[in-house]
Amino acid sequence: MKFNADEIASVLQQEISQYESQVDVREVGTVLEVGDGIARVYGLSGVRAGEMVEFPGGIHGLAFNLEENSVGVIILGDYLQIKEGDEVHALNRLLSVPVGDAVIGRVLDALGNPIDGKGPVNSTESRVVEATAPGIAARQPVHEPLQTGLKAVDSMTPIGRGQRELIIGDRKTGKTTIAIDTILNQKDSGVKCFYVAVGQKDSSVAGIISTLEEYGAMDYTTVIVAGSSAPAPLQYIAPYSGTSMAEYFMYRGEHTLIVYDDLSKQANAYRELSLLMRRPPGREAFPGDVFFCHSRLLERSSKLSAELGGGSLTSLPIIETLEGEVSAYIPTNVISITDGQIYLQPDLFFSGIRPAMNAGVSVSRVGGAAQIKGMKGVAGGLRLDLAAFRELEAFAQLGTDLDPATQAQLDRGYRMVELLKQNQFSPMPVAEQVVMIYAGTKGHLDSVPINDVAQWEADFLEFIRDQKSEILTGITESGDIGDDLEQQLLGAIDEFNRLQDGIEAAEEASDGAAEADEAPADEAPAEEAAVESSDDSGADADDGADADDGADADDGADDAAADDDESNADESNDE
Amino acid sequence: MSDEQRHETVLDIGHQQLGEVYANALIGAADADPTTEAQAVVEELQAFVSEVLNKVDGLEKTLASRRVSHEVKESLLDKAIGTSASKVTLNFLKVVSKHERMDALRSISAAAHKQLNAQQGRIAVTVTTADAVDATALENIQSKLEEKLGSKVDIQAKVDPTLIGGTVIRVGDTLYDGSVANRLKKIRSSAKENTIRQIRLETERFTAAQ
Repeated sequence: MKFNADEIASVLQQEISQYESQVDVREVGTVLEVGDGIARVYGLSGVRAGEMVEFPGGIHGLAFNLEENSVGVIILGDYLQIKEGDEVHALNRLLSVPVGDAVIGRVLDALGNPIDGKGPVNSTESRVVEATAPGIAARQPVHEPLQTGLKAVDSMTPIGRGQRELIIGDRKTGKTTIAIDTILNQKDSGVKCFYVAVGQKDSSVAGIISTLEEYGAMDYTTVIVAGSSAPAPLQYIAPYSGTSMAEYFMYRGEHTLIVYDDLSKQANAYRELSLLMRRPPGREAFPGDVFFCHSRLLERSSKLSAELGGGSLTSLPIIETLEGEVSAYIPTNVISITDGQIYLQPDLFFSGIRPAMNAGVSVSRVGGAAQIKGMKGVAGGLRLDLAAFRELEAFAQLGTDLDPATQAQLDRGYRMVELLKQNQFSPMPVAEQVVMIYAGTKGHLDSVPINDVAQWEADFLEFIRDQKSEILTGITESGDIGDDLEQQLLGAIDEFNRLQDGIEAAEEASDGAAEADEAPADEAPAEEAAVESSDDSGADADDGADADDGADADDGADDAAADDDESNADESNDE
Repeated sequence: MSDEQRHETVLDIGHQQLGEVYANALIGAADADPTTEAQAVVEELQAFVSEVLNKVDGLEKTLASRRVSHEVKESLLDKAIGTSASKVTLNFLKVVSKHERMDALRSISAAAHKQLNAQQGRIAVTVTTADAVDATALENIQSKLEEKLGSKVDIQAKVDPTLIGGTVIRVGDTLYDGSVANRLKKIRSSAKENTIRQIRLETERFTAAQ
């Protein structure tokens, strides 16, 4: 793009001649001491708490401590540019960030400056970073679901729009993965997503952004980054900036989701600032108002009343515990603020249960109000199965002979646990979740070997998507499994099982044929034999010798071969 | 603190408070003595610092040193300003020397100036200009300021060539910046912002045909 220099020069000239100069009045102070992201300023006697101040070079700061002889200022930028004796002046306004549609799809820093190299943020509006939360009259109870796409979460600890659900666990237990899967699942739901990365490695954040781009999630997501090399003041305010950007949409009646990853690092940054500012340290050296630091952030997530547009802001704060210590200071604080927690455990993670959610300890205080009727119906059964299973798990390890009823419960429990496992970046639509949990709780998985449950699930869902999609659309539209849909679903399960039996019979026959042959088993003749015998068995199995059914059996055979390849690939990709 | 202070304010709260205590004592002594005025005494002290200490090499270090005995320091002071200074000022300096606080003399002088202003209801104002201003102009500024602020004004004039022109008046912590340098800065940022905004709104007008 070439610029027309004459036009630009004429506009500049016009601006200069139109400029009305006035005497500039400003409150000033002198820097006494600067370092580590904070500065001590002498003067600024009229500055107010939290007011923005400006250093030479355009670097901004916030008045943090108002003391008798000086003002403690936290520097929102590079403090290496500032020298002792520099003049600081007050800007008479509060810190604010750009908001609006211009921020969607961008990667910004804690002050709203773009860091993705895609040009400036052309936003016409801005909001203050420290806004007060909606009052009691402005809210209504949470009643709409926010689907995360994870079976374990949506069934047992459902999240509603406007709820705060804490994701808590040790390092490397999959906390960020749950948040990212939730964001990926909002693809066609109209929910705008915000991901605030506080104190994370820049490489991890880059990986997350590329994942979001790959799955097309950046079209409705904004990422706010204050990495671990960012100054502590920026790490401290990043969650508040993100919340302001999300609140803009909430007050316009839209639904938003924000993920704070993670609040433990924000608390550490706040502790660093407070100690440098000589505020008295309390428990674990955190300042006395670290609870307020988190509560005023999380209280801004709400479901607004109908008069205010009914918008909502759901938040998923993430807290990292050390060695599973949930009763440490910051975790207990945030647990008491949020409306429930998803508790991830490393031993579950390493034994292959991913998401590594401990269903017994995890809770959602909104519960059934945030579930569609269909899910509520099947989730109750799931919870009972798992609770009974947990009680009996200890017996299983004793290796004693168990009575049939107990054994059945154990078997059911193992299968339900298998069912709740889910791959990374594979969020599942709620209708499919309902179908799978229905199949599990009604005992249709009891005959499937435990290690094959995942494969059964993949095959069955593919079958339903291809041939019985009316069941899924029915559940999606009505939100429930009515009697009619239930009959259809049972019929589909029967049909699928028969097909599976047919395929297995065909495979056994082909194996037998391969063994009978002395010559090394060739793929092609074995397949031909399989196709022929499956044709026969397909025709036998079905009541009518339909050509379609024969074709289905063929497809089934091919699918079985393809699925084997897929499941191998999945296992290799599994973390 | 024997080095010259580069800035008027440094993070040494200890010396600042020390200065306040001694300044209080000085002004109290001056008030108690019917023959002297606090104003004169404080001005003498300031003159001592600016004329004597700044101009005579080594005097400040000698007076502040602990290796020189108090009697020697006293006789030094007598010889230096015994005849020209008032009794109160001389005694004060000797007392400061006896308490071995001569290193805080500048802080004491600044604090005394401040306290006197507060006592007499004067507002300290700093007027900075690009070139030195003559006395009549300064008086003019002083009377105008006294009119605006409604109280007596104690002007300190400074010269700063980087202002290019105009005046910068500092009252307490509020700065009234009418300097040319500041105006140029403001024109530059405002013109740049508005031009960029216009370019964004009417991109076609500003881009040449390809």
